Amino acid sequence: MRMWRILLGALVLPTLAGGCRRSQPIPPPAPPPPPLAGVPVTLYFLRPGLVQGDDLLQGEIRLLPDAKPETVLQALLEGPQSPALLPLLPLEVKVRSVKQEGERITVDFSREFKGFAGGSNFAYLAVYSVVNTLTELSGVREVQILVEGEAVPDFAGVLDLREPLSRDESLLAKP
Amino acid sequence: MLLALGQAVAEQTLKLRSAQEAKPSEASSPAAVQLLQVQANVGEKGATVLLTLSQSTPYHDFVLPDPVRLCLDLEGAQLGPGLTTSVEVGSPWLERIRIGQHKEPLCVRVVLDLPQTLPYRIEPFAEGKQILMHVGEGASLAMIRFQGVEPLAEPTPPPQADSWVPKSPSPPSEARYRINTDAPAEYRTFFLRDPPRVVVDLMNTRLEEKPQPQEFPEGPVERIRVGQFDPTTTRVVFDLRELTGYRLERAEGSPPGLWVTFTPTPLLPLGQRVVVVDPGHGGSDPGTLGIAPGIFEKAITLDVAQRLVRLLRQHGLTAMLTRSEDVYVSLEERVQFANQGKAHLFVSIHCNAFPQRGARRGVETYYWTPQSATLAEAVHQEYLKAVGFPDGGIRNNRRFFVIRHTQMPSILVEIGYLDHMEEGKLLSDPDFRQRAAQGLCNGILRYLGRPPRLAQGDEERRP
Repeated sequence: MRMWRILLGALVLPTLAGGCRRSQPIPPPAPPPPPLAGVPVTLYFLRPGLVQGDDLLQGEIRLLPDAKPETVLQALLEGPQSPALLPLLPLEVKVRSVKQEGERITVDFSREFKGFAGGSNFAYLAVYSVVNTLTELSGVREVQILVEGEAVPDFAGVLDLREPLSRDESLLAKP
Repeated sequence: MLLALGQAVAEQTLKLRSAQEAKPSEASSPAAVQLLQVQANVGEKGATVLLTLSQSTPYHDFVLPDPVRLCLDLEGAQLGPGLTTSVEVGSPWLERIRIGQHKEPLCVRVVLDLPQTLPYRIEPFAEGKQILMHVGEGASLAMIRFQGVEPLAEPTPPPQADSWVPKSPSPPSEARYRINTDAPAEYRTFFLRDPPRVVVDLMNTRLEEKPQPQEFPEGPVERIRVGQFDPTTTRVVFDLRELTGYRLERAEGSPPGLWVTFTPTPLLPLGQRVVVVDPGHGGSDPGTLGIAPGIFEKAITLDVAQRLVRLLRQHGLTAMLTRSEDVYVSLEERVQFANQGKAHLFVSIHCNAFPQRGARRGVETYYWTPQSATLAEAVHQEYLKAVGFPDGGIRNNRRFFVIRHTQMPSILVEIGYLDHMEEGKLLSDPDFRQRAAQGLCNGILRYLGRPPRLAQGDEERRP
């Protein structure tokens, strides 16, 4: 088992790292990266509007050990580092599983995801903080959200999440 | 490029009518006259060029041959700032317009390059501050003539009777008006709110004489006024008793014209209007949490919705709830209930909460379809008036299930922030919730074109 994991690591990691830099060709097997380096990943959080209701999502670029969807989601759930941004997802939410098939990522959240207690517009932004963050990853075009393995027909009493969702740029704050 | 003044009286063979008689009164300070704007309008029968001046000034017109040019000299005039000196029009009636400044004597010359010899006519407007130059086949016919507006009482068939609606609706009749012209006119239309009126502008159209306003004792239209908005635009204004939907269509047959149809929806007796009120959340879905333990959004929305339904019924409306107790109802069921019940209006009630609890307050109203915009505005404004919370805005959202999938005008109102100290406390108070329901009710009545009146027993409750 241990041997298997080591083998996998050796094979998969360079490929993923190459994928994140997008335009660069997959580098040949190289020496391990220096310890402080990370992969830049954009995470989306709430940027509260100055005028009421002009709330949008703003990206925060963070260096993560890798750009696996699990790692990225974990960082998203832990919240932003910038004091100007606010987390949208309940802090207690856990990721039960993440599955990628082709261009679609299916995320299965724990039941706390449904315990989201914000208003309808924040529920909307919360969902797209997940969708827009994951569609930053190379090759990901749509995101299916599940809770405890099941589709959610009425998130926060307003949103139907049964279909996979694609990126919505209109919700992003202009830099 | 420009013609010398000395040629001014050379040829006048094309001239049908001289506009000299119509020469406006002498300008008080000739040097101050400026040509401000030149607008060209090309129609099927000819072209018009409208000159706008800072003040009236004497002018004379003449025609030069080889190539054919219609010239107009504006005495003592100077070119206004930013005027282009040459414009290619390239129509069968008008090839180009050129404007030039002459110093000795001071004048502005406007030259219309014509493709061939054509009749023309020159008319002053607005006490000489505007001059209209027509060229074309029978210049006097270049303009479309306005021939009047006539009402037509032609009842339209009633909508399908529906067994679900308690009373079957009596046939509503649309109010139709025919605007007659002697040739098909281009038009533009818009509506204004205060007072409610619909404006129809007929382009390149002239009034022979200004008709008296027509008054109508009944129906959506109170009065029709017609006037010459500018030298090339006839404006028809329909003063309405209340803002209703309307549409414009070209009228078949003779004379050419336009149908303006006002839809009678807001004039149906209120009892035949079905309002579905949707209290957000319920049962296993508590919604957001209040500032005190045990206060849930689902209970607040239900109570406000029940109060709203009672008020609407007191005003004679048919009002229904998507849930009347603490049960879970899916979004699809809520939508189905309204669609199958042929509701005329759908109002979903929610309470807001900010991710950083307590840091935000105010009222937000959401809608999706364009037909819902006026409902959103009416309810939002009346609700704000009733509760005095800050205005969080009216916004469009295509993702909220109930406003996206209902087939009638529908809105989702976030009636306040339940996690905010002041708003949360007020929303937890039944007397305040009555006020909130009254605000929503007033908005619905305003949308339906009925002035809100206080229901019995409400007077004491209002602050």
